[in-house]
Amino acid sequence: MTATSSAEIPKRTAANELIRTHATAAFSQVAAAGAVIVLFVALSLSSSVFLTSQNLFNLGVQTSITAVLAVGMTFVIITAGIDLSVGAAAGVAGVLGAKLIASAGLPAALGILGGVGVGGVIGLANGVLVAYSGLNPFIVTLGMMSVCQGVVFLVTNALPVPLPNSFSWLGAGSVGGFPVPVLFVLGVAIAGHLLLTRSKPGRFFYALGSNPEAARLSGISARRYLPLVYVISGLLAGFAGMLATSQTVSGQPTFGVGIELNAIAAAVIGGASLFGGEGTIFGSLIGALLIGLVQNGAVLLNINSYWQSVILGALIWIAVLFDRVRRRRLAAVG
Amino acid sequence: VKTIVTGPTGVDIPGQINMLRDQITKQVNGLDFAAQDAQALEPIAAQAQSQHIKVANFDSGISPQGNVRLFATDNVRWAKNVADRMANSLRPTGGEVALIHFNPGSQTDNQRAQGFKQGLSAHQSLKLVAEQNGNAQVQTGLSVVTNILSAHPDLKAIFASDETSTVGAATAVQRAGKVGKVLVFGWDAAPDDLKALQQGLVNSLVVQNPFKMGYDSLNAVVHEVRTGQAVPGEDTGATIVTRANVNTPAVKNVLQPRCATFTG
Repeated sequence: MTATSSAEIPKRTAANELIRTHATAAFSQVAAAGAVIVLFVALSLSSSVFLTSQNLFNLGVQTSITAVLAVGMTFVIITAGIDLSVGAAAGVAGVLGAKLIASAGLPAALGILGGVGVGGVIGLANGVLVAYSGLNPFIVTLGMMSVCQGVVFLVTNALPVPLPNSFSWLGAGSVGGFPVPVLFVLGVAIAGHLLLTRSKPGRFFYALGSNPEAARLSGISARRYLPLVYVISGLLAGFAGMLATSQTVSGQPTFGVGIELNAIAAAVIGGASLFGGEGTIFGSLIGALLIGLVQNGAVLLNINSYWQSVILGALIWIAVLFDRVRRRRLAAVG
Repeated sequence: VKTIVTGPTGVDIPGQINMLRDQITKQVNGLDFAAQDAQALEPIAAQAQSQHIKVANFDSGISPQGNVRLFATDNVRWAKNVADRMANSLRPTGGEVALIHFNPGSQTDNQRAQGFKQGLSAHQSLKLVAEQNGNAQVQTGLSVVTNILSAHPDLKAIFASDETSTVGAATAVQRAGKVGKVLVFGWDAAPDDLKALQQGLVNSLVVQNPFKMGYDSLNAVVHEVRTGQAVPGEDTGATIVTRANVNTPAVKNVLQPRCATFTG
């Protein structure tokens, strides 16, 4: 170990990070998965309709939007960033995608791609600003949220963009009794997981988030790789917007307000650390499912809607406290 | 008469207060506004009146209303009317019903819920089994009504108290294959609401008269500025629009109002 070449250092750092990340994130995921199971059993016992295939189908449909956003948010949070604009971006993408179909007469598939592309452009703008302007991600995406909320009213005059009923397939359709949006969530999640764990950029995202200085010294360019996570988050926000447009068979200018918080909560509950360097797609899906279960269960049991926000807030606290305890233990072990 | 039309984009209570303050500073003769928050806007009305500016409210009033004239839908009265019509439609058996909020905490939401519950109390056959918030978003309304339909398979009717929950409830009932078995009583007449009504997904809509609110309230202010005599406020009323009457001239006048309808 006397003559360590400069090429070896990054490898060792990256390898250590990898092991540490996997061990700690796994711990959070087990806890979140445990909470999902407890809630699942509790709802099965307290509501006679919870386990019906119809309700499980609905649960899948209703969780899909949060899940798609949470996958994108995981990428951003891993780099120690945040994307507050995903809700508003989903709103803009949802109405512009709808307009492509309703006004420009494009086929549904192209309209969906258009909506996803709108999200991608918004994400690219976020990413370039974060990587090159020196502004922090919180400010950049807060500004973008406001821009998108304005644009959505400018292009729609606050009126919904109606679509034919057949367009509900993407967001609420069924393939062999399985909700179509859930199939898309699984596809997005598998792609995201492979990108994060098996690809070079994926590993770089973890490195940029856990120790930007070490990443820089290792030759990982933040300017080159950071915009990518915001593009991914934006593309998925665009897709989430099209899921919502499909579910309501209309582009709704008011859609998306506040849902970025659900996406952030899902990622954090699933073990992503807001300090960066930690988080997994699987964990964020579990987090999204937990939020979906709270929302579904609350209506089945007719719990006042105010309590839903209270419960969600408490879940975030518990997840973050959990994260702190875990870090202390890890620090104590060395 | 010179009319200055201004307002914040979206819900922005401090923004509305600032804009009204600016107009008071400019010493306009009259102010006509829809209060975004009943309590927060009350001092502004008082300040304007103390400087001899004539004030009226349209759509939503202040609290306490004092001697400021209000030109708005009587939400309590018309929500009560929804309960009465619901009871009529479900005669003789009655059954389980649900209420969808849209902006809990706002005066309008409170009044509609209050009126509906007052109405229900007069009909023992109707039982309110679910009360949830659609958050003024079609997608949320769709989700909560879908879940309510799962939880209450015997549900007979839904009062969706705004335009977004009306669309959400209609879509949820349609997807659940329960059109006709679960009646949707809606509120307002956005294009999607009317479409759902025409498709038979919605039983009826309570259609307010925003045109009349604006027209009568502004006229009242101008009249008071010119003559010094106050014009009393009014319930600007509502029209119950159903599939049967949606194409009649009377209802069309409400849905597509023109000045000519008012000036004769």
